[in-house]
Amino acid sequence: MNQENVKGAQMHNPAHDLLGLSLEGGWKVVEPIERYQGQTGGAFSVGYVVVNEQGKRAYLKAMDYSRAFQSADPARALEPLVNAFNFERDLLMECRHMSRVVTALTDGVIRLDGLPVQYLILELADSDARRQMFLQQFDDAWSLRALHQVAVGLDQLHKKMIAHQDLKPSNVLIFEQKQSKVGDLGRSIKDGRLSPHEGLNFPGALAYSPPEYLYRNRPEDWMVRRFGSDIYLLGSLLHFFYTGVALTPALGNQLDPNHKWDKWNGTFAEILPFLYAAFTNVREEFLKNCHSEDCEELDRLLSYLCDPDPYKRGHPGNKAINVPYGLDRFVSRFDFLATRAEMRLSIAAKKK
Amino acid sequence: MTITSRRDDARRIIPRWRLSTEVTGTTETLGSGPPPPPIPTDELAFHVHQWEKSRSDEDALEVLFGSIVVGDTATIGNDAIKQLIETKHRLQPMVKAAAIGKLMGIQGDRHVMPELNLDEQIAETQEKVRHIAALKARLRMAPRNPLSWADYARLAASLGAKNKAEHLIRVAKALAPESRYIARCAVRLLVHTEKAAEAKHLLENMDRTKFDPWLLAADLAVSSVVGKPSRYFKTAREMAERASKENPNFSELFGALSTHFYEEGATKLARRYLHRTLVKPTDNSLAQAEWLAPRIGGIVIPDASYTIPASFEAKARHFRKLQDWENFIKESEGWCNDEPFSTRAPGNASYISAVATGNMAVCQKFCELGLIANPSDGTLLNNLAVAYAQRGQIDKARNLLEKRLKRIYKPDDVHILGLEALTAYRSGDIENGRKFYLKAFEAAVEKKDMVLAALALLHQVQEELVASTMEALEYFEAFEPVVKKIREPEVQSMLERLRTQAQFLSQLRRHM
Repeated sequence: MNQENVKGAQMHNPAHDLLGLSLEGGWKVVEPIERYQGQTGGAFSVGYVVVNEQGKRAYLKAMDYSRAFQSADPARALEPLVNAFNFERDLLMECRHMSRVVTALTDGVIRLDGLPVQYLILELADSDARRQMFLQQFDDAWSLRALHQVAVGLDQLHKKMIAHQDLKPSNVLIFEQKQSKVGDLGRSIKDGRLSPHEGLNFPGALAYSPPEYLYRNRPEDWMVRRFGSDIYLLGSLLHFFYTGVALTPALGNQLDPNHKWDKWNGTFAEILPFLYAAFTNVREEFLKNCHSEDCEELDRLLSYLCDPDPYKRGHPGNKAINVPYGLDRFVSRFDFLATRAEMRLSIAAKKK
Repeated sequence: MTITSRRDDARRIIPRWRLSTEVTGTTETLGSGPPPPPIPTDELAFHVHQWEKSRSDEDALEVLFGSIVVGDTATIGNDAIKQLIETKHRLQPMVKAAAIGKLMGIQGDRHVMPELNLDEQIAETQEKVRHIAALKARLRMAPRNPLSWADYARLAASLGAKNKAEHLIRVAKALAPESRYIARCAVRLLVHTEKAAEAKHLLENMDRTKFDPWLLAADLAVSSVVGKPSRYFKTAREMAERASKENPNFSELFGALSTHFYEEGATKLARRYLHRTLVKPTDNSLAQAEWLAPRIGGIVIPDASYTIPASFEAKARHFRKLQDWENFIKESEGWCNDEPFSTRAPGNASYISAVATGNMAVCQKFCELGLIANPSDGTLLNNLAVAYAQRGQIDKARNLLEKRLKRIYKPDDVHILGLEALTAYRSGDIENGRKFYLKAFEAAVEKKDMVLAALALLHQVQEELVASTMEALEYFEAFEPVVKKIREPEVQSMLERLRTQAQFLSQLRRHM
């Protein structure tokens, strides 16, 4: 096919035509959705709400390869899309039994006019943490419980050597009864398996990136690079819950303009002292704005999770036993703090 | 009057040590590589596109975060950020502050040192104690922040706790072993505590010294203090030869090389590098140029150089040259405030304010200020004793002489002899006063220090005039031709002042 023919042809896109169709397993496509919570970058997929025979609603993610077909070299353009889909599908299947990770209920393929459309059916969330903030449905107990559940989700992934790499408020999905789960494994990386984003220093959203990548520094060790980023992102989430601002923009605001990543022309080691100073300022601001009764402990946890030096991140207790990025201590601390906050809330409610 | 002690011997470009909040973002703290590649904006563009479709606050928030991270090149998304400021949603204060900060271009927090006069600086000691308490709290919260440790060390040094300061700066150095700023702070402190050899060792053990012009400058300076050649001299010279004169990162290295060649007697080379220093000077290299220029000649310092922020020392030296003593004292106050642990700043200022202006109240204040950080400094104690004696507090002066100064200086030292002479004159014992000044003069001549010798003569004349002895005018006439040969501006000012007093006394006697 020559290029002129490509320009003239209007590619039929079957992924957009699924509304009303019945799928394997009794699922029926009932509603298109512009954007699914947590799917902030889904340029190569189309979303729908599907319902099964028991009335359970779920999210269908149909792969849209039409743009790849329209490119000058469709075989090359298709390759990363297919790889990414296969990787995500395999990962979701592997995570099927994880209680705090949004997993695939099923996957399949449907043929329309002889063209195949591959899809994944995922759990459908009611909301996400970012929206929750604007709906004013944040309180201390909720935030701490969400942090606890996200830490559990991240821990479940890490135990399978999967690094999420894109944990951010819009990827913390809220289900009924205030249950939070980690969503969107599209940017994840698994140790020992060729991941589509393995070549990137930090595959997640730039606005949430740990500072070392913004300063063009790539830790050589896989664990430092991947799990070190994940726990930074967990800390960033903690900062977001209590201040409304992710940690990286907050750090950016505390740095002198000449020291910020877009201007800095030195090494990461040279900037680290100034990053520590900026991080200290961020923590002071955090303490001023934090509305929890456990601010000091939260600040301490924030300092462990988001140390500007990726090699120093992690709970000191975990470092002592040579599992620097272990999340179990964070899980139990968030659980304890959440339980205490919930008890305080219920006592206050009873008094009323 | 005794002989006010001078403190302006060999000057080297020892790094300045300022609070981290004052230097953050300045050339000294910047990298030396090529400009970084721009932060990709495609993700921000995607969020802006999403916001344009949805107009939701959630998408506006993503635009805000992306925009802050992308930095100055982020020219899109301002409407989304404005929406966040005006939204009806009750947002947390930090979100609105971040949005306003982004739109207004507010970023970082560079502290500017307040200008304090002498009284305010002396009174600030209590403020420093409070500042230390705040720093300790900050360190309890963030013990890995090396800048806080360095700031704490500086405060400790400025309160005279030298050992504590050394311990604190070592912690900072351990936390940031390759940081230029921390290394330069440590070097400055170690030179201050007379451990220059340790400072040299510290620089030699850093990987980056051999390619960092700021550290090479410090290494050359410290090597000169220690009196041993620098291991990196050849590297430093080669780098300086390749470097552009316009590059501000090299100004101190040019200055250090200039000083090195001056010390070696290679005046032509010293002059060549000093010219280069002055193209883009730092406040420190400008002060070095002020010190060195009269010694090697042929250097004109452009007036525009004095606009450099915090160039107190350079300006003080400049005003000394012009014999503008009012401005000299003003800039010296700034210099003391800028280097509160230094002995050179108050030592120099107290000496010149006493000799050039005869204002012993100011001299006393400079000494008291300097003694906070350096309670055993001989120069400052001597000048304080002079100020006491001059202001009629003979007991205090004698007390300092007997209990402090005689433990620092030998009995035949010029300063001890001068102070003995002064207290004798002020107690009415003219004969002994003359005897001691003569001995002081002879001791200075023996040391081949003609300025000190001239000062001994001038101080004796001053005491004769104060006591209105019959021989006062004879002394003046005898000493004037000798002192006239001394070119030091403050000596000339003192001579001028004494000439006026002598003329007044002469007229008075003619009328009587």
